Amino acid sequence: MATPTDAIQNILQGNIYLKPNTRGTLALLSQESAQNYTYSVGTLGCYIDILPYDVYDDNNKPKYNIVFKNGNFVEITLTETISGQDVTGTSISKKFNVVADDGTTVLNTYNLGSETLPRTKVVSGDTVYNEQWYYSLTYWAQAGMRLYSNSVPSAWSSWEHPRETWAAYLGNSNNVIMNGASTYTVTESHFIDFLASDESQGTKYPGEHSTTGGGEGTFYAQNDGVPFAHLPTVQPIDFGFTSIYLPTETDMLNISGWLWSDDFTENIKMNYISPFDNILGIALIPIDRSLIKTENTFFKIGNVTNNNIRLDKIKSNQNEITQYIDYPCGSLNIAEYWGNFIDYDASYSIFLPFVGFRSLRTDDILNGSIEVTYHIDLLTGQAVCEIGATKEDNVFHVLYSFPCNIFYNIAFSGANYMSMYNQQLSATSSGINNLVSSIGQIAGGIATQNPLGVIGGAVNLITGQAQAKREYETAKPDIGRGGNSGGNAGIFSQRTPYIIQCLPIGQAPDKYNELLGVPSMIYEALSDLEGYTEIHAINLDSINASSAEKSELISIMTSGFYI
Amino acid sequence: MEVIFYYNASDPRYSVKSLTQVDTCSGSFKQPFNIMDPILQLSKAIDPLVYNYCYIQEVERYYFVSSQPSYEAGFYNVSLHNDVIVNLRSEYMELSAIIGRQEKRYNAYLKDSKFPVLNKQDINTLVFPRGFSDREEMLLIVNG
Repeated sequence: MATPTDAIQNILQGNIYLKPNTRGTLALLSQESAQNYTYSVGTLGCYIDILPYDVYDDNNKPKYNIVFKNGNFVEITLTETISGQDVTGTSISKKFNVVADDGTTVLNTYNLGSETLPRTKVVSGDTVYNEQWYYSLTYWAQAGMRLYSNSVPSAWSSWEHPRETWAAYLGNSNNVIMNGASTYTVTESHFIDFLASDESQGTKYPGEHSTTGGGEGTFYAQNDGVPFAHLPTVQPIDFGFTSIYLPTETDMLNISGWLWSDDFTENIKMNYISPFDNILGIALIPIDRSLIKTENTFFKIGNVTNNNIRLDKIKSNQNEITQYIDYPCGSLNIAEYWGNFIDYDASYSIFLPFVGFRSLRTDDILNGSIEVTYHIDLLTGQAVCEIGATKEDNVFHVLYSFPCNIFYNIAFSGANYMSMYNQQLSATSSGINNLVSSIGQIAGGIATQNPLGVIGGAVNLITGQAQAKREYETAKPDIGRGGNSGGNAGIFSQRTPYIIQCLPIGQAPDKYNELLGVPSMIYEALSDLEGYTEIHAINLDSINASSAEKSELISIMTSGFYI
Repeated sequence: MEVIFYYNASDPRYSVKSLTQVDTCSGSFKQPFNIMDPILQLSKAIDPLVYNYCYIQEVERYYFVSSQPSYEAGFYNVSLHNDVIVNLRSEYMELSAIIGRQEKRYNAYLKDSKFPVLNKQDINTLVFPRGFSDREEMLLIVNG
């Protein structure tokens, strides 16, 4: 940081200067220190002041511009002086002499009338900005040299001298001594470097520490396909511990009759308290038996085989997956309706059997096809419902996955019934908690992992991710369409998945394009356009017209015209 | 200077106007001259509903007639307004620009705050081709 004297010399010598035709000024003396302006005879020799003025003429050209041509300093001197007071709020008569580079020739004198000097804000010791300069383009920072003294150095005939003279007069001392009688010490805080809109040196405004960045994207988006999950390759029914039968109702009557007979209990009671300990589950599933690979065999439970009852039993064959099945529900094409942006303001939700209603992200499915499939374990009823989509890139992705259970469990003993009831209650309570915590989808998914699920419709969850809403939609609350519908409740719900599409209804009047245009955002030669046009940005530098005409032209172009 | 008066049937925002010449008069500009909104001094009154547009060769500009004539010091003063969209057409048509809205070259997927949308929606359901069976099968899972 330059010392005050250095600063003065630099200014006088033109070492601190702005780029040609840029706005701003050189340095200024803090006006915060009002006492500094109470000068006695022969105090401070000079200081550099900044006065903001409206400096545009009627043609929008700056009236008074500090111009540095080829690095040479053209001095602007304020010849009207005031002294002995804080200039803030003072009305002065403004008159500038513009002095040529030789330092003496007065090129022009400007009588600016009078003006009340605004207070200059000091932000820190060496940085300043003035609200008017910063926020208003109609103000132009001006530099003037104001002279304070009633005594001219003996060698001088007047205070107005070229900068070289001032530099020599001030010398290298930090103390500026005038007439040898009174001294005034100019401290560093009195001088403030002020750089306004000087691109080469950055700005010293609030926010100066903002940084630039970005623009280094690869413009390559990897897009790998994600197929539906494959079924497990190991199945417990191959281990010999469990078997799954597909009995008919008649078969079940025969089985239950046998289980309660003396014959059976005599054989089994040696090992078990109850014959029903060997029954792991009885359930209904909404799947056609033709889709399940079975073999007809004698019914066996525990180590007892009934040679009088033949049943279809799910094959137990290590070379073939039979315990798990895929259950595809097919696909739907979701086309754009309007072919414009409001299609993407539509909202979509889907009902999935044994899962319930779920929200879909419009961008995920619109203008493509959506496919639903279930992966089901016939031993437990556990299932995963996957939703995949293919968009215009013809790449298939699984985008959603919901666990669920498709069994309708049937109680076959008191203990079994109470166990089911308690689990049902627990799951319902969990569902209610999910509602309270407003994390519907995640919690709902967790809840449905319970084989008995949550009773559908008992819980009204606020479903789905919040979608971006247009203004007209913001007043409409997002209403959940239902709760989880897994487990026993699922059997009472719809069995075919379906999508609910909520389409915005556009109401563009006739001649909309001709009278209002449609957003374009292309960079194009105007000669290649026709019809209604609104310009977003254009540079009229090359047009040969007055600034007023250019201003009006810009105004018309941006508000809309017909080419 | 010569002033050619026209009847302009076009919207002021058209860069090519549909003009019908209705008269030619001599006149002068009232000083100080302002190229955007000059005042024309005529020796006779004109009807701005018919004489609503003019061309002045001296400044090579088309102007809208923007006021009723007012009589002052022996002249009928008429206010004009510069039709910059016509006068500068040959120059700006050579330029390129970022186009905000356009009648024919647009991208309908850009958000359009002017596009009116009803405050109700069309609700449709789309059913997948296959669901679970309407019939249930029974599963009996046992040890053994």
